[in-house]
Amino acid sequence: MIGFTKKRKIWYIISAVIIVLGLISMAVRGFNLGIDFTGGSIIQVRFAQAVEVNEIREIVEQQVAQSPSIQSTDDNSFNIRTSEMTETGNQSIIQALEAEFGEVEIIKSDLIGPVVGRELLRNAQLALGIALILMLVYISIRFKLNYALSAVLALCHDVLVLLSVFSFFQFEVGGTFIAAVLTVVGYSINNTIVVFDRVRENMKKAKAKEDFSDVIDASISQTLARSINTVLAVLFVLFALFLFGGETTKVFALALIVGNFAGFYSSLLLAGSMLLDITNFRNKSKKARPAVS
Amino acid sequence: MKGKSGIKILLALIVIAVALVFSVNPIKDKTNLGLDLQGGAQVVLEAVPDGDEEITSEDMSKLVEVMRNRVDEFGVAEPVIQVQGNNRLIIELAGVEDPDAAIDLLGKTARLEFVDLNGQVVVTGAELKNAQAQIDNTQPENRRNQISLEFTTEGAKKFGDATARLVGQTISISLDGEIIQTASVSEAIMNGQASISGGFATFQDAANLAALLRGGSLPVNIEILSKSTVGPSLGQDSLSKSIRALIIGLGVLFIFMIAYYRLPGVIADISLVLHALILIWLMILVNVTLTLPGIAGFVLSMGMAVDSNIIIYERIKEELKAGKSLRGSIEAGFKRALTTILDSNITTLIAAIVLFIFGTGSIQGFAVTLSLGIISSLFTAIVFTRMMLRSSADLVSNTKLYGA
Repeated sequence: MIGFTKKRKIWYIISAVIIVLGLISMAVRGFNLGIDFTGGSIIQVRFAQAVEVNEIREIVEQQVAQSPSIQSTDDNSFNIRTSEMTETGNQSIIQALEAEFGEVEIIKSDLIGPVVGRELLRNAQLALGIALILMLVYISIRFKLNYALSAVLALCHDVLVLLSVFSFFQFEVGGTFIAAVLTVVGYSINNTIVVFDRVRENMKKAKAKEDFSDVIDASISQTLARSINTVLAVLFVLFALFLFGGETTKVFALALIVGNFAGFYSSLLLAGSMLLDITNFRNKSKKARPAVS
Repeated sequence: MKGKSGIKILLALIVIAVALVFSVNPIKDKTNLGLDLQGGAQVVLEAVPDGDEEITSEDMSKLVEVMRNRVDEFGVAEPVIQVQGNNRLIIELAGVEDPDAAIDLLGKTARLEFVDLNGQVVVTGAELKNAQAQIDNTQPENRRNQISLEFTTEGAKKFGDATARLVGQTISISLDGEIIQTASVSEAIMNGQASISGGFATFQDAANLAALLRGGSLPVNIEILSKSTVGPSLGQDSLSKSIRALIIGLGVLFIFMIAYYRLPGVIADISLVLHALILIWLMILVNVTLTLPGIAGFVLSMGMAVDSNIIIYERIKEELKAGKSLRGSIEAGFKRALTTILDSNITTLIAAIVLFIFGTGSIQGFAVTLSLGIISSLFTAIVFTRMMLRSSADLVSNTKLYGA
């Protein structure tokens, strides 16, 4: 039996390091926010002839007095991103591009006003908060409060790791990222629950003298095969989506992949350890209180 | 017992295979594809009040009506025009040919006014009975695109009175506050007809404006809050790429399951196929629009369906190791796995429901797909996998094949 909880100081340190690095990155670099949050417009165009990025930039600046951020992708298509835009501004850019370079194919065009971004963020925070609370309640009912606290803390860890990775590597954060975060919340709780389910079962059968940490370690070992296989199963499909799905699902698939790894790690190494520590802590504080006579 | 089980398995396989074959075409036809998979346009508009006045629900219904008229012109199969809150409108045109042009047209106020010298409005577009784009052939060397207008009886009267009054002077036509044409009035026009000529670069421009005039001008000012257009090529591309990715991912998954769990692995793969079929039909039943996040939701539900199978099989393995008979292990393993499967699926369902309530558009599609997927996977795990396992235990009792 592997001493998962015995080595919990190591896991705590590893997680702490990742999260602290992530928090620093969030404070210093922030996120690479897509227009879903910042507002603005992205036009993805393809020209019939070869065009230089600078030529596009000049035309955009002429039309809307803004310096756009332009990304060129393979096959002669360009992502033109500007902040603060009106539809008329968009149209004038497209018309000017057409006048200068002939045929322009508009592959995709998004325009987001400032109001939408704020609402998106607020909705996301609300959704996350409510989901976590509901889970706390459900798990408390089915298991015990200690289990619920550990599980939800493990979830928060997963979300923080996801945010840290995206901030550190500056992957784009938009509406689909929010959906990915909520998905990770809903999905990585599964692993933790399977482990806790086993702990619950083993505790029923356990003798009074058995160490709680041994029971937890045994439970994790017993469910190891299932945990690995399940994570593998989902990763097969997610990786396929990431590698072979189109551009538009890449970020989503990536977020889910990172979230799955984080969830696997936390359900195996963190959740059990926290369950142990939280239970010991609450037992100690119960004993510390003087009995009322 | 053996015979019955054999028949059960055979029957199940035949039913699934037949359902699969007969589902391919209906699925292609009936699945509602979202913008990101089909191309199209989506726009969120907010009605902006004039000064202090508030937007009433009457304003909104008039707005919806005008938009519906305009949208009809695009010939989109299933346009979505939805009021959100008390002053917002969501319009979705999936599969429209030129999404950016479509949104451009939707956004135009299209208020037509005939004004005299002093700027007094004589008659407006609200009093038009018809507007048609035409090509003016009277001067063969100079063919122009024009719109011929026909007023209602009321409008015709107003127009007639005005032209009678203004003989020898000019009358101007303004569109959205800008004067687009000025003509001198040579005589009173009593037949209620007029035309806007010239100024249209292409016939399509004239036709577009004529369509707007027919549909009516917007009753309120609108502001575009957000807009998203996906060209048809990107839509097609995304669809084919995601399907390809799904097939590859699932293929690897299927092989893995058979390699690791052997006979139960085969059962798991078959139950996955059943799960996918049920899920797709559920989605068609509920009329869920399939979007890219929706495909991801589909993928995740497959993962959860596999998970249920894995939980069951690991339990069965444990029971076998503990020395129980094959049949006994299957029953015990199933019973014990059930609580685990329920607990983990319900927590994911909670997250999916929250996502549905707080999400918008394509994210809601994802949440619905995930929720339906959980329901479907619970069914296939609890009913189908159990039946298949029991039946196969009757036929094949070599415990090695079950992972012992």
